[in-house]
Amino acid sequence: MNNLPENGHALRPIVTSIPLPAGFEPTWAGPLAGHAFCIGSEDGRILFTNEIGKPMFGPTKASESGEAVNGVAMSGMWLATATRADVCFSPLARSEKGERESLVLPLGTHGIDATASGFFIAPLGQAGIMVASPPFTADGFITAYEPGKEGFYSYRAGCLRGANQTEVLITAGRLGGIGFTKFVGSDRQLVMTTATLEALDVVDFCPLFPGTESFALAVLGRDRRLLFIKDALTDKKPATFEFKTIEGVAYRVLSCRGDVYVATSKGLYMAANLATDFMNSRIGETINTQVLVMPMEIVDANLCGDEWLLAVTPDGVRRFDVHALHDSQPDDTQGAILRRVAESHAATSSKTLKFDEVMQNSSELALAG
Amino acid sequence: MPTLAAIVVHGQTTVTSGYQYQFTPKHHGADAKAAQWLPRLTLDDEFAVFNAADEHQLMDDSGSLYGLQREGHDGLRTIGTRSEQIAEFPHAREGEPWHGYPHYPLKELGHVERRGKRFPPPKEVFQRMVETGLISNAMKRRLMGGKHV
Repeated sequence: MNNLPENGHALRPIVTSIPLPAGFEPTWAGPLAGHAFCIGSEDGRILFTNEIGKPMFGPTKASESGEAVNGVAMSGMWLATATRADVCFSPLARSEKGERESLVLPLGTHGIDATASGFFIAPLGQAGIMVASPPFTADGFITAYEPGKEGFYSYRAGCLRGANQTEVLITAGRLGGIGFTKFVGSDRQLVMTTATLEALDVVDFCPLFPGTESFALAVLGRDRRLLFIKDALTDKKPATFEFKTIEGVAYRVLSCRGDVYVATSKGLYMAANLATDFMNSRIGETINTQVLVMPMEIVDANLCGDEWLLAVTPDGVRRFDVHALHDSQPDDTQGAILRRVAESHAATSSKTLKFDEVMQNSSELALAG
Repeated sequence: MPTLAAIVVHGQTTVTSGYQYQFTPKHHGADAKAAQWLPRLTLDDEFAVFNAADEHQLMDDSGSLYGLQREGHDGLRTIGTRSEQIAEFPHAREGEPWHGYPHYPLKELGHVERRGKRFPPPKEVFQRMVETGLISNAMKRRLMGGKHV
């Protein structure tokens, strides 16, 4: 099923495979600092490669539990590796004694991210959100914010940074909706605004214009419904979209160069210029979108800057050139494998959307050496 | 599924091993802190998950069974109130009825593990789910990472 051509374009190959060592079964792949990739495995190891997939470090054990890696993030000189059973914080530099001892939070998370201000953020499911700032010590503590409302299940968490270094913490809360709150990092309590849409099982979100000061974001439901928000702090009339072309169980939404990507159990879909067209639209206005279909089985997907998209498949890791995808022409169908479908949608808001405010109190969790 | 005030034993036994199965109030509305079966699942649905777990021998080395139910070609049905998609059925002594609950996908604070025992279900059970055609390899890797399918 994963039969996308290795060289889709004569000059810019749209997709290439990242070579992996024998026995390394990938479960996660994403960016490391600079132009490097990090790939996590089913048995808790990580591998660093350069952009062409040449190994730079590892594979090395990064999870104490040896469980499948579901996220890796870096902040300062610390690396955090998340699994369903623990989060391991590893210093990148050796101590004065020449040691490099990891510290473990013996709690599972659904992933991990790092904010621009240097915090690690991880969704703890019904336990809320973990917030941690390096450096870490063996007798240290980590902050956890409770969900604040019944049914708000923290499934993905991350921060957007706007003007004046203002940060907004976003949480995908499954049937509890999507949550937003201004984030300082030292607050004992957060006041989170939640938006819920009837039966929308929120599994992911992404900034529409990563790397900018925009608070515009896309929210993804497990049923592939998309919610587009022009400003997470002020927009009370997000637009909803449901593309017929997109099939399967929705996993990820990503946005780059004005295009929106949705990864599902059936494949990777690119809604060309949707982010840009949405931001330029008025309420009710029709948006015409070309949806590029790339059928494949996907485990996970992440953007690496504005050049690459890494898709983990059962066969390995595939690196997509999002620049080349963005520039590809509507008639550039590359045989029967890639196809484009035109869809038109009105940028209208759902009447069943509800906003709520909840208080999230914090507690401290102990680290283990 | 109605909230249960007392234990109910299902009228059928599993096809493969002839196990009895009981529905417990704890996981049917009586204990808010415990895992809860999704209210829209009928008792027959719940038993079907257990029956399939026994049929496919989705068992760990302590004898516990794990179950799931397909939804469409490439998804699993949500069975628990916290979006759980896998059920855990702890090993029951011979002659006693089994019971089960939606398995929370993340290790929680206070989770007690026996020495050397990994967070359930272990990899071998996920691999068995692939071998029996219940899930794909891609689904296995997502579930092993605590993610939905």
